[in-house]
Amino acid sequence: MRIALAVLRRDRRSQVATVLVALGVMIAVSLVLWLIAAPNGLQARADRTAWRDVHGQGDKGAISVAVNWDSFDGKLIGRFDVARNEPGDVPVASGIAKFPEANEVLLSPALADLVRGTPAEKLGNRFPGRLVGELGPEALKFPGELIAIIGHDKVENGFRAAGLQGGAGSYRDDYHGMLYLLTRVGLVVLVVPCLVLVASAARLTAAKRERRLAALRLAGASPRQVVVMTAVETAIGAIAGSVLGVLLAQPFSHVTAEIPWDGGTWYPGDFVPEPAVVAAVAVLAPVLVIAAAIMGLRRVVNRPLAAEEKRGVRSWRLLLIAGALGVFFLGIVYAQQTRGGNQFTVVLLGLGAVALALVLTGPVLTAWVGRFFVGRWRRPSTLLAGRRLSGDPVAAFRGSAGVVIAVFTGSMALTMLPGLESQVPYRDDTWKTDAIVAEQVTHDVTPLRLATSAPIVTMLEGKVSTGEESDHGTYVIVGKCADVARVLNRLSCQPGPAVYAPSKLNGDVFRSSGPHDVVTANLPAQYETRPFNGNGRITAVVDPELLPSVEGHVSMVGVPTTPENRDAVHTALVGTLPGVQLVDGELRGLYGDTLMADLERATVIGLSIAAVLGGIGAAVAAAGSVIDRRRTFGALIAAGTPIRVLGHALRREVMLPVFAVTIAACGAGIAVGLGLLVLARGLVGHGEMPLTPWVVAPVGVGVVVALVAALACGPVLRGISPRDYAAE
Amino acid sequence: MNSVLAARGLVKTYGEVHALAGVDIDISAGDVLAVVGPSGSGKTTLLHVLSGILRADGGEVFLDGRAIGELNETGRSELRRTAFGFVFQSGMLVAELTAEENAALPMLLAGRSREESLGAARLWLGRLGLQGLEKRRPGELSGGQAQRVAIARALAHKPRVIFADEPTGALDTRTGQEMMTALLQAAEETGAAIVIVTHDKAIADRALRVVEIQDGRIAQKIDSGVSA
Repeated sequence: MRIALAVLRRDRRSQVATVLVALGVMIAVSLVLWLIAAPNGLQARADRTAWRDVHGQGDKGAISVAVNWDSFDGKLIGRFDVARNEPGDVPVASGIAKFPEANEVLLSPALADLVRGTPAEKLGNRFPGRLVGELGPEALKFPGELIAIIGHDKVENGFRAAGLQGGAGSYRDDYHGMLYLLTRVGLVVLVVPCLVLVASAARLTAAKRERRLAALRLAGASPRQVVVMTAVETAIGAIAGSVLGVLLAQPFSHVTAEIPWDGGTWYPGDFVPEPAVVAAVAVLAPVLVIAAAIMGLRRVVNRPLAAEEKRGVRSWRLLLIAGALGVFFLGIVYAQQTRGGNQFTVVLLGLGAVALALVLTGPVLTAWVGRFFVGRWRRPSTLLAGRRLSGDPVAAFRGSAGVVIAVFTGSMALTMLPGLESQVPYRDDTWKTDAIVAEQVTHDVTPLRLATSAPIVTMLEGKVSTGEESDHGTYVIVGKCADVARVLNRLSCQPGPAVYAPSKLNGDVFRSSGPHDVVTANLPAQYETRPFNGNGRITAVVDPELLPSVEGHVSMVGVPTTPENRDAVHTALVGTLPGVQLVDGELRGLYGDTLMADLERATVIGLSIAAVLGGIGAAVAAAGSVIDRRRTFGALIAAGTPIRVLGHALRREVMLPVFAVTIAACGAGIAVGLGLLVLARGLVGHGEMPLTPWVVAPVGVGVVVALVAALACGPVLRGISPRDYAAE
Repeated sequence: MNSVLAARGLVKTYGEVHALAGVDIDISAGDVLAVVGPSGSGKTTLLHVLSGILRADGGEVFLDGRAIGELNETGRSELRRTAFGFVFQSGMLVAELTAEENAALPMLLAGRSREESLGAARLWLGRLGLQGLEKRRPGELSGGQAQRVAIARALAHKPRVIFADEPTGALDTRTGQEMMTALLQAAEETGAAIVIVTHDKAIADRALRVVEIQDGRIAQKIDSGVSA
C-alpha cells in the first residue's frame, strides 16, 4: 500500500490518471443516480394524482365525479365536477383542503391566478361557484398545473367514488405502459455508456501500470500485494469520484426538475432517490472500478511476462450479437403474451445484452479494420493506426465503446420516433380543428343557445345494424348534413335527405348509444347513399328526415368557432353543460403534441447524454493511450516526427473502429427499435412502423463525436516533449 | 577540417543549474565522437542541443555552416527527420510496427513512398544481419536485434549525423560491442558522423574522438584515432 501511495505522490501521470478516474466515476455516479430517480419522478407524480383515478370504484359511492380535460390559451385544464350522493364526511387526498359542496370551487394556484387575470366570460365562468381554497402541491402533478374541482348539486355522467382519495398510483398505467417501457429502455441504454466511461477511466494508463506491476511481480511481489497496490491506486480516485458524484446528484436533480414532461416541470423532490439506493450506487461504483482495474491486471498477476505479450480477440465473439438479439426478440414475444411486473424484464435484459454484446464484439471488428488498413496503407499515420488497431484491438476499441453505444441508442430512437408518433393516443381528426364538440350530452341545450351566439349543431350518436346480437353495427350520427359538415371533417353535402357513408349501410335498425335512454328507429327501405370517407370514429351520417322518430333527441353538440370566440364558446359549453366530455382540435393537439414533444425532448436529452458520455469516454481512452505511449511518442518526436502526423494517426486510431463498429451498431439499433415498436404497437393497439433515412444519421454523428474526442486529446499529445523518450 | 556540425559557446541552464556552460565542438563527416562524463554532467543535454531537440540559451549550433537556432520548431523537426538519425537506449521502437516498418518510419514520415521506404529498410536490416526478421515486432526481438533495427531506422534515410544516446545501456557487454561494431560500420559506409553519449568506457574507446563533460564544460578531449 505504501508503494502505491508513493507512486501516487510522485508520479504526475498517475496523479492525472487518478483525477480522470475520479471525474469519470463522478459523472457516472451522478448520472446513474439521476437515471434511477427518473422513474421515481413519474411515480411521485402518479402518487400525488392518485385521487383523480375515480374509475372502477363500482356503482356505489358517496360522491359522483365527472373528469374532463379542457384547454385555455394552449394549456390543458383538468376539471373535476363533483357532487355529493349522500351526507357524511367525504375523504379527500392530501393537498385538497375540503370536499367542495355545491357552488364551491377549489382551484390550483396557477389556475386561480389565470382566472383572476382573465375576463370571466373567457375562463372564470367555466368554474361557477365560490372559491373556497387552493389545491396544494401534494394534489398536483407539477408546479403550475391547471386543475379545478367544482362542486355541484348533481353531476350527470359522473363516476361514483368513495371520495377524492386514490389508492397507490402507478405511472405504469399512463399511455398504456408505453412510458414505463421507454423510461426503462432509457435507463438501460444510458447505464451502459456510464459503465463504459467508468471502465475507460479505470483502465487509464493501464499499460504503464501493468509494466510497473509486472516489474514488481518479477521482483518478488506476491499476487496479493500487486492486487492491493492496484486497488489502492484506483480506490483513491474512485471513492473521491463517488462522493463527488453523490454530492453533484443533488443540484443535478434540481436542474432535471426544470425539464418539462407531460405538460409541466417537476417538484425538486421528485428526483431524489431513496437513501438506500444512493448508498448502494455510491458503494458499488468504486467497487466496480476497482474490480475492473484488478480484472485488467489478472494477466500480469498470473504471468508477469504477459505485460509485453500480444493480445488477440477471437472471432466467435460475433456470435454474442446474434445471441443477444435472440434474447431481445424472445423478450418481445414474452412481453406481448404477458402482463404484470415482469412483462418487460426479458426485453430489457435483451436490450442490455445487445448493448454489451456490441461492446464485446467491437474489438473483433476493430482488429479486422486494422488488418485491412495494414494491408493497404499509404501514409505512415494509416500504418501506425492500422497496426495499433490490429495489434491491440481491445485497447484500441475501448475508447470507441461509448460512442458505439450512443450510435446504437440513436439509431434505435430514430427508428422508434416516427412510429411512436403514429401510436400516440388522441391523434383523432374526426372533428374539424376549429370545432368544439360536447359528447355524452344529456342536458337541455337551450341555456347554451342563450349563452352563445355561435351556431349550435345538435347530433345523436348511435349504431345502425341488422338488429341481430352478433352484428355490432356501424357507428353513425344523426344530424342535418349541412349543419354536421360545419364540425365534422370530410363531409360534403348535397340537397335532400340521405345517408353519407362509404357504402350502403348493412341493416336498417338504428339504436342510439348516448348516455340517455336508448332510442331505436328503423331506416326506410329505400334511401340514397352518398359518399363519405371520414377517417375518424364516425363512419356514417344519417339525415334526421330518414329517422323522424328520433327528431329532438340530442347526445352530442358541436360548435364551430373562430379564434375570437373560441374561449367564450368553451366557457359557455362548460358552464351550461357541466360534466360533459369536450372534444376539440386544440385539446387533441395538446395531448398528442405534448406527448410527442416530451418523447422528442427525452430522446434529444438521452442522445446528448449518450453522445457526451461516449465522447468523454473516447477522449479519456485516447488520452490514456497517449500517456501510455509517451516514451515512444517522445522518441518519434525527437527523431523529427511532426506532432500533426502523430495527431493524425491518433485520430485515425479513434475514428476507424468507430466508423466500422458504428455501422454494426446502427444495424442493431434499427433491429431493436423495430422490435420495441412492435411491442409498443401491441400495447397501444395501433400504429405504423415507418423507417426513414435518418436512422443512419447517428453513424455520422458518432464519427464526428469520435473526431472531437480525438482532437480533445491534442493538448496531451502536444504536452509530450522530445526528451520524454528518456523519461522513467 | 570542414565541419558538418559545429557548436560555439553553447550555454544551457535549468534554473540555477548550468547544464552547458560554453561548449565548442566540431564534427566532420565520418567522425565518431563519444561524449562521456558522470551522471548529471550535461552530456545528454549536449546531445539534445546539438540535435535541435533543445534550443541553447546561448551560443549556436551550425549544420553545414547554417545556424539551426534560427529555425523554428517545424524546421528543426524537419532537420531531425532528414539530416539526423537517432539511436536511443532500448531502441524506442514503435511496439505495434514490424521491424521493417520501424526502420522505414523516418522515410515514410519524410514523405517517401511506401516501396522506397520499405526497400531501404529491408536493405539496412539485411546489412545489419536481420534477414528473415523483417516482419517481427519489437516484442519478438532480442535487445541486440531491437537495437540493430534502431540503427537501421537511423541510417535508412542516409542522415548526415547520427546521435546515439546510451545505445548500449540496456545490453550486455558482448551484445553492446556487437551493436557498436554494426553502427560504426554502417556509418562508415554512408559517411555519416556519429555523436554517441555513453558512460561505458569500452564503447567510448571505439570512437575516433572522446570529449569528457564535467559541470557543463569540456574537461578533456582525446583523439584515439581508432575505429571499428
